[in-house]
Amino acid sequence: MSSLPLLSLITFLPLAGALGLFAFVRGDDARARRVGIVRGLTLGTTLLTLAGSLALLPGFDPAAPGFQFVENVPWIPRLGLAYHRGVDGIGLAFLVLTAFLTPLSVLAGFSVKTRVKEFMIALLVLETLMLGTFSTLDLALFYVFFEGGLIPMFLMIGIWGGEGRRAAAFKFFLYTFAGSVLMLVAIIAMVAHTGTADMTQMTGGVFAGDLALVLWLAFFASFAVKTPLWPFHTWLPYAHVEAPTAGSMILAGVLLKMGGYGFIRISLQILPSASEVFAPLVIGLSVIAIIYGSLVALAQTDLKRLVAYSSVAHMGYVTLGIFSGTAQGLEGAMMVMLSHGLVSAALFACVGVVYDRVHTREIARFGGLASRVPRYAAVFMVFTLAAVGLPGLSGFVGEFLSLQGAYLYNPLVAALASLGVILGAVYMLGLYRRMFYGPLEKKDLMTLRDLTVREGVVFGALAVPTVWMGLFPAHFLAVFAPATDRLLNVSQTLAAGSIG
Amino acid sequence: MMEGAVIHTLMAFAPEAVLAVVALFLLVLGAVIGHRSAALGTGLAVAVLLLGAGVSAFLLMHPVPEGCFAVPSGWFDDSYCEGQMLPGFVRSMLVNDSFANFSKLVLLLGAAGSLLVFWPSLKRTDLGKPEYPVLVLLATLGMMVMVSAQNLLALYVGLELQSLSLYILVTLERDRPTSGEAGMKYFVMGAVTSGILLYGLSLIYGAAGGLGFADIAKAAAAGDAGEGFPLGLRVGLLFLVAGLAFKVAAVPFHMWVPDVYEGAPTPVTAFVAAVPKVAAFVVLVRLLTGPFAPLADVWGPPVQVMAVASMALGALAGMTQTNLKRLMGYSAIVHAGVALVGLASLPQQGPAFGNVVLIYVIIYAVTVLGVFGILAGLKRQGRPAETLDDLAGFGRSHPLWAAAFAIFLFSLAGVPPLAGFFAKYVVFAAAVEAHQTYLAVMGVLASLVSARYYLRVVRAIYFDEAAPGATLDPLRSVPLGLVTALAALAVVAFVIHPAILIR
Repeated sequence: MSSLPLLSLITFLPLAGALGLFAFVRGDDARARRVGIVRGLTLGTTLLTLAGSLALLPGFDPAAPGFQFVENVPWIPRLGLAYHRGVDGIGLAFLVLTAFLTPLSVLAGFSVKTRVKEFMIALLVLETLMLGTFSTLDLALFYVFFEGGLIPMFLMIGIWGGEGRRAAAFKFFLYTFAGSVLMLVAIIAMVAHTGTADMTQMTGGVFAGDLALVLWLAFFASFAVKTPLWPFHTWLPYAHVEAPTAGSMILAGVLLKMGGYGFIRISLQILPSASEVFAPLVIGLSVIAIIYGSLVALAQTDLKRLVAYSSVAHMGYVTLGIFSGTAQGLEGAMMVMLSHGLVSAALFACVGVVYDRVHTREIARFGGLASRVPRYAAVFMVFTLAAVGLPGLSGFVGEFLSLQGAYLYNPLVAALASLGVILGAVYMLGLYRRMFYGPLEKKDLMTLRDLTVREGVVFGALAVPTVWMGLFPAHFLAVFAPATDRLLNVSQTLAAGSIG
Repeated sequence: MMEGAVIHTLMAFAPEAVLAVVALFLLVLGAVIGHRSAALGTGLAVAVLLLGAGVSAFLLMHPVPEGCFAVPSGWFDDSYCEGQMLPGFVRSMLVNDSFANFSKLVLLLGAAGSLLVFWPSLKRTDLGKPEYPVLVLLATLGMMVMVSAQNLLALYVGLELQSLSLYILVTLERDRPTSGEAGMKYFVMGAVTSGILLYGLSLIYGAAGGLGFADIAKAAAAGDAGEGFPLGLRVGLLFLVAGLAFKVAAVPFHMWVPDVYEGAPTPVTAFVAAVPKVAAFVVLVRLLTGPFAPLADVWGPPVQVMAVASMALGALAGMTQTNLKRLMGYSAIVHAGVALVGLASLPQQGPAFGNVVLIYVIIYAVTVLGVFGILAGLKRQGRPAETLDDLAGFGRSHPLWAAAFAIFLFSLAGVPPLAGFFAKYVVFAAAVEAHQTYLAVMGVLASLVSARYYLRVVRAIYFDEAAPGATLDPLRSVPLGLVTALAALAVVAFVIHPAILIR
C-alpha cells in the first residue's frame, strides 16, 4: 500500500488541467496553433489520468474485502461529513471505464470548432466529477460529485449542441435535478439518523422498516432518472440527440452508469431490505424498458435517437440484473454497463462521423455506404454486432448473465426480457442494412470521406476492450465479481434477517 | 471617574464611533467641495469599513469577557477587564459578544463590497453623488447597533437609522421615475411595518415591564414556569416578528421587494439585497433563541408558515420575470424562506444552531453581491443591462465576467459543489434533525422550481447570441473586478474547506 493519495491525484488531475487551461492558455478559435495547444493539453491530461487509473490495477487485490486506496480526512466534522474516498472492484471498474472513455471523447471532440478552450475545460471538469462519483465513500461527497456533473453537461449540450439544444439542456438539467433533490433529503435524513455520512458504516442494515422504504424511494427517484429507467427516460432522447458527439459519448458511456452504480452502491448495499421489497417493481419496469425501448428504437428515423433508445433498452438489462437478487444477475449488470459504456460510446462516435461530414442524422438520407467507406462500414459492423450481443463480443456476456439472473428470479421475466435480444437484432441489423447496403444513390454521399486517422484511433481503442471482453470475460469479472458476490451475500443475509 | 467611563465606552465601540464620525465628516466634505468628493468619500468609506472589519475580526479572535470592553491598553493582556467594566447603562443597551462581532465583520465587509461595486457608477452624474458613501456608512452603523442590541429601544433606533438611510439610497437616481416610485413604496410600507413593530414593542413593554432583553427573558421565564405568557407578550412578539419579516423579505411582507430591486439603482440594489438581510436575521436569531426562547410555540408556527409561503410564492412568481433585477427580487423571497426554515428549526436545536441561519444568509449575501455587482457594471450601448435579452451574448463578449455570473447563478440554484449547495445543506439538515422534514422537502422543491429561472439566465448568457451590432459595452473596473473575483473564488473554493464557516 502506497501512502500517496492516489485516488485524489487521479481524480483531481483533470481539474488541475482545466485550471491550467483556464489560467495559462489563451483560447482563440481562429488560430490553429492555439487550438492545437488546447487540444493537446487536454488529451495529455486525460491520457495521464488514464495511466494513473491503470496504475491502480496492479496494487488492487480483488479478493480483499472492503475498500482499498482509502483516504479519510475530516471535511465538515460538525455535520459528520468526511472526505472519504476508496474503491472496491465495482467502483474501480467504473473508474477505469471513465478514465478510458474520456480521452476518446476528447479525440471525438476535436470536431468542435467554436469555443474550443471552454469545451475542453467543461470535459475535464466533468471527468473529475465522474471519477469522484465512483470512488467516494461519503454520502454527501458522493452527492457533490454526482450532482456537480450537471453544470458542465448542461453547458455542453446548451452551447455546443444541435438545433434544439436549449430545450434539451433544460430538460436534462431539470429532470436530473428533480430526481436528485429528493435524494439529497434522503441523504440528510440518513446522516441525521446515523450521525455520519460514511457509507461503510451504513452497510449493516442500519435502516429498517418504513424509514428504509421511504429512503429507498427517494434514491430511486434520482437513480431511475439517471439510468434511465422507463418511464423516467424521456429526457434522454433529447439530450442525446442534441448533445455534441463527445457529450453523447460521455453521457451514454459514463453518466448513465452513475444510475446503475448508485443502485448497487446505495440501494442494494445500504438498503437491502427495501430493495427486496421493491424488486418486483423495478424488474417490471426493466422488462417494460427493454421491450418498449427496443420497439421505439425500431420506429426511429433519426440515427442518434435510435441509438439513444437502444440505450434505454440496454440499461433495462442492468436494472433487471441488479434487482434479480442473484450473483449472475448482478455480475451481468456490471458486464452490461461496462460493455454498453464502450459500445454506445462507439456508436455515438459513429453517428458523429457521418454527422460531421453530411450534417444529417436522418437514416433515410443514407444507403449503400459500404462500397464508398469500407473502413467505416467495418467499424460500424463490429459495434453493431457488439450491441446486438453476438457471442465473442462484449455485449453477449452481460446480457446472458443478466438474463440468467432473471431466469433464476422468474422464468417468465427472463422470457419477456429475451424478446429484447431479438428486437435488438432487428433494429440494429435493420439500421445497418438501411445505411450500408443497397445502391449508393445520394449524390453527396458519393464523395464521402472514409475514417481519418484520428477517428480510426478512437474506434480502434474502443474495439480492443470490446473484443477482449467478449473473448475473455473472466479477466473483467475477476476485478469486480468478488465484490459483487460479497455485497450480495451480506445484503441477502440482512434482508432475510429483517424479514424473518 | 465618569469621564473615564465615557471614553472607555467609546473605545469599546470604536468601529461604530469612527463610522459615525467619518460619515458626518464626509457629509461636510460633500457640502464644501460638492460632486468631486464622491470618489474621495467612497474611497475613505471603504477604508474605514475595512478598518472596522479588521477590528471586529481581531475582537472575534480575542474574545472579550462579558461586560468588558476591548481597548488598546490591554489588547494583549488577559487581565484587562479588571475594574474596567462598561458602565451599566451601556451594558443594558449593547453587547459586544462574539456573535455581534462576527455579524459586524460580515456587515462591514458586505458594505465595503457594495461600495466597491458602486465604483464604476461614480462617473455617472446622476448617481455619483457624495451622499452615497455617507448613507451606506450610516445604514451600516444602524445595522451594527441592531446586531449588538440588548434592548428593544436600541434595536429600534438601529433599525430606523438603517431603514431611513436605505429609503434615501433607493431614490438616489432622482431623475428616473421608477427610482422614485420604488423609494416611495419602500418608505410607505416600511413606515407601516415600523409602526407595527413599535406597537409590538409597547405591548411587550406593558407585559414585561421593561424593554431590556433581560427584562423580557425574566417575564418569559416566569410565564414558562407556570402562570402562562401574558397576552401582551405573545401579541407583541408576533408584531415584532412581522416587523423583522418585512426586513428579510418574507411573504406576506414581501410586496416591496420586486419593485425596489428593479427601481433602485443597481449598486444600491446590491447593497439592499446583500447586507441588511444579514442584520435582520441576526436580530431574529438573537431575539427568538434568547429572551423569546420559551415562547417557541408562539413564534414557531408563524415562522414555518412564512417559510413555506415565501419559498412557494418566490419560486412560482419568479418564473415569468424577464427583468433580471425583478427576477432576483423573487429569488430573494425564496432564499428568505429557506433561511426561515433554518430559523424554524431552532426551538428543537437550541441556540447553538443559530449560526445555521447565519451561514445561509452570509453565503447568500456574498452571491447576490456578486450578481448585482456585475449587473451594476453592465451596459448595452450606454444603457444599463437589466433584462434577460440584454444579456444575450454576454458569455462571448465578456468570458470571465460571464463565468463568474454563471457561477453565482448555479450557486443560487444550490448546485454542488458551489457554496450555495452547502448553505442549503446545513439548513435542511437542521430542519430534518428538528423533525421538520416537510420543510426540507418544500425547500428542495422550491429550489427545483427556482432552478429553472436561474437556468434561463444562464441560457441568455451562453446559449443565445447577441443581435448583430448590439453587443454589451466593454466592462473594465478594477474595484468591481476585485469584488467579483473574490466573491466567485469564495463561492467556488468553499467546497475545499467548508468547515471554516460550518462549525
